[in-house]
Amino acid sequence: MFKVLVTASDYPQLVRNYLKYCSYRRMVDQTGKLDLTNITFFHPTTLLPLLILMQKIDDTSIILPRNPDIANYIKIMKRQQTSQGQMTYVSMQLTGQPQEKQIILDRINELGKDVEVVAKNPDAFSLIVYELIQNIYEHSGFKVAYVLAQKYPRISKLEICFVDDGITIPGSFEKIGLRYEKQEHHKAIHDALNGLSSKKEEGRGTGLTNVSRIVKEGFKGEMFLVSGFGAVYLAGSKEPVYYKLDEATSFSGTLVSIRAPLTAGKINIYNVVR
Amino acid sequence: MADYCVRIAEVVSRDLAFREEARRFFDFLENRPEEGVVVDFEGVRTISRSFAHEYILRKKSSSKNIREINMPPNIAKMFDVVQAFKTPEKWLPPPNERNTMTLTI
Repeated sequence: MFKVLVTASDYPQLVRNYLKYCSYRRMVDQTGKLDLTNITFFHPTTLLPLLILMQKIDDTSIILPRNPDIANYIKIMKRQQTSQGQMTYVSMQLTGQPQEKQIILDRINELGKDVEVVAKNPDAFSLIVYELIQNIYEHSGFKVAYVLAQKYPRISKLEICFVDDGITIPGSFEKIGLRYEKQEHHKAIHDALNGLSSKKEEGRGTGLTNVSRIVKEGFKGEMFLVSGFGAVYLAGSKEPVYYKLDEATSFSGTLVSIRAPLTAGKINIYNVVR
Repeated sequence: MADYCVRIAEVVSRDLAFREEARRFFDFLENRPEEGVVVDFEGVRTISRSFAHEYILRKKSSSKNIREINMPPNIAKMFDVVQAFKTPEKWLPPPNERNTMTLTI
């Protein structure tokens, strides 16, 4: 029987959650099946890329979790439904409609009405949602994209994950003649976070910069960004960690996963945003 | 001819998010016969940096005489941030041997 490997414990949780997705993808590559029978819990950073994978394989190859709640959670998202009601998460599949950003933002605000970090920082969360959805719409050329926000009262974290199956950050730069080889994709991500834009107009290229600054410097939270064969992990005052990915860990698209402490106080985003 | 007064929260949204929305708003204004336009920001809750940037770009190139009223403080601050922007700040250190690793399973 194929086993999903438990990944190195010295990686940050967000990175481990992504690696779990990579293990499932390898399972599909090697066995032709996606067996989720024994799953009892999914983090957004595992589930969202997995949902993209599920869109691309035959339904009969997918064995849903035995746990009915988890199976239902997957079914809701697979059916392209938006989560409703009193839940600890909000989810949405993006289709490119302008009203989506408002729906997802309203749901995150609803999810966070009892959460200090959301209630105190409407400007910060709207900017994060707007800028990352704007990037997906404008740069990625996506076919499938999802947003999922989940709160974890036990560990006092809010996690929001954005994922698309588009052309990736290095692919976006390549369209304007900036070529990064696979082993340099982490450099493309660094350059994007430092303001390099695939658009020529002055003042562009600040979306990812501002989102990452709000998360890292404002909330002292964490952010993990994967695109093509590169990734970066940012956390509070720590130095960034860049990752070179191989065939088993690369991602045909872009994933941005953010974690903020639920109890973070009000931040002045105008001191952080450029 | 009197100025045309428009409440952007009603024409666009209370949450100003995407560049495309700013472009469509200015296309709408350019098609108005009046030379002067007053954009009323009353009721606007949030604005993205992208929307504010596109608004400023289009305002600069507009044939209309445009002014804003009732701008909430958080919206005004975002416009200030965009107008103060000079060049991208290289805030993250570059990848090097010490901060880069291979991720595999």
